[in-house]
Amino acid sequence: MDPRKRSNIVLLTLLGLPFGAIAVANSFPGEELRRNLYPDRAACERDYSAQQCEQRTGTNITGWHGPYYSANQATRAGGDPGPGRTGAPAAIETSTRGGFGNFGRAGHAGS
Amino acid sequence: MRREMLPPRSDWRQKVEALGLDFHTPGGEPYWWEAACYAFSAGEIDLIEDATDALHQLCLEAVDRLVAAGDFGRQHIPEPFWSWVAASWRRRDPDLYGRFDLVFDGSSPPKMLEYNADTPTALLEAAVVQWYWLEEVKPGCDQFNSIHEKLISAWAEQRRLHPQTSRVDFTGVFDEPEDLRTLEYMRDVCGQGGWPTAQLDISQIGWNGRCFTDLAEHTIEALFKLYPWEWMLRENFGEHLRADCTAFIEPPWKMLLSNKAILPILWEMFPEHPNLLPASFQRDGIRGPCVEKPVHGREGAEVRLLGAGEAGLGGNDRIYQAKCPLPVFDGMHALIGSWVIDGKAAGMGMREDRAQVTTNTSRFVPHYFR
Repeated sequence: MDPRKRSNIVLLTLLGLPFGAIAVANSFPGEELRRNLYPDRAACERDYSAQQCEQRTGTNITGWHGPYYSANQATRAGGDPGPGRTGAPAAIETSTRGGFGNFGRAGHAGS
Repeated sequence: MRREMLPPRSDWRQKVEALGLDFHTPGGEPYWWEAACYAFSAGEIDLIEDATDALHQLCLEAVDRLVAAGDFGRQHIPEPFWSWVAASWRRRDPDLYGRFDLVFDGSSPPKMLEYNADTPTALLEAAVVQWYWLEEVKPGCDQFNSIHEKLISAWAEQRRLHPQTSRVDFTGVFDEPEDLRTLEYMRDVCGQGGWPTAQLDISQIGWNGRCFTDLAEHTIEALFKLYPWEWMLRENFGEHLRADCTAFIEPPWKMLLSNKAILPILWEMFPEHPNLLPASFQRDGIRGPCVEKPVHGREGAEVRLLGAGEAGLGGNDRIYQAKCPLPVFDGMHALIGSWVIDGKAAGMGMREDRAQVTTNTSRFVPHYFR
């Protein structure tokens, strides 16, 4: 048995890249996104194309959903799919960002 | 145990930068310092390793007792999270790493100053940079440092146990160079352990009403966070943590250890243990000089040295620990950061400072033993 207490070999695969090469933008505007929920595929495809409709996944979850779109109509970009042709989903799921990170902008997270 | 002075490698900057340590001289002040090193005997290293293993076991025993008693108030964990933290322990959600800060003078038993059990840093320096220094500067000597190998093994074991989890996401505050590099390093060893990985800034995490999401609105199944639990609980998304839809590394139960309140609790549970220092929630619980620490302080912030009979600030967010001075070599106070990976002692890093209190600007100095 090798009695040494050090690693036999230390190889890196990601490090050594210029600072920020992996990092992405360090703040996010906290935009609210929405996507429509439907009981079945046909209902979803009344609002979106077949490619934009996906079956919901997860425990005890059924139904289909359309793509995410910006909740703010005024700031929707050209590629934003919008709220659908009929605008009559069974429910709307909302996604928000920016709910973590405020303390981290004021202090150092490491210890 | 001794401090040796030696000439730095002429091209040390390029070498440490190539390993990712590009924060070696923050603000013009040296952080990586190889004009000196610490030398140990094999027997001294065994003492540090044994103390680290013993302390980690004490901590696990303490968590078990705290959960059984439902005793989380003294650690300032908000009551709505108590059952969630307890469930995390009862499930034994796997923990990955931590770092004890120890006082050791080469002869007396190492003493625990604190346990950085949630977001320890100085990892890249300890696991990688000082290993390459040893290879070049002290070939033929050994180093207490199998951190890199043990991290890869730990991630590989988790991959084996959780084949249904598709990916591990990494998050933290990306505009902090040290934090970003620590995350990149941890992501590197995670990938070498067989996991697909991705990363996003902590502010980019989304919540869709059911689960946390990445920038593509995919569910975050497993999240390595270099961001303290005490902050996450108190931020806007904190209330969603109890939905338990993401596996966190470190797990929620680690917050019982990653605050200074664990110090008097350990002393209550294991009085006179040779690797613990007397600690109390009250100033008058400690005779003589002591150190006042905030329950949730980080990297030496707000630590105050109190002389015998000197009163502290008081309040229920402070604890008091008997003063145990760091050994001084060439005018530098030396602190041992002893790493625990997957529940076992795995290596160490040395920090030194002219001041008595180690902070985030204290130098990292490599070590060896024979």
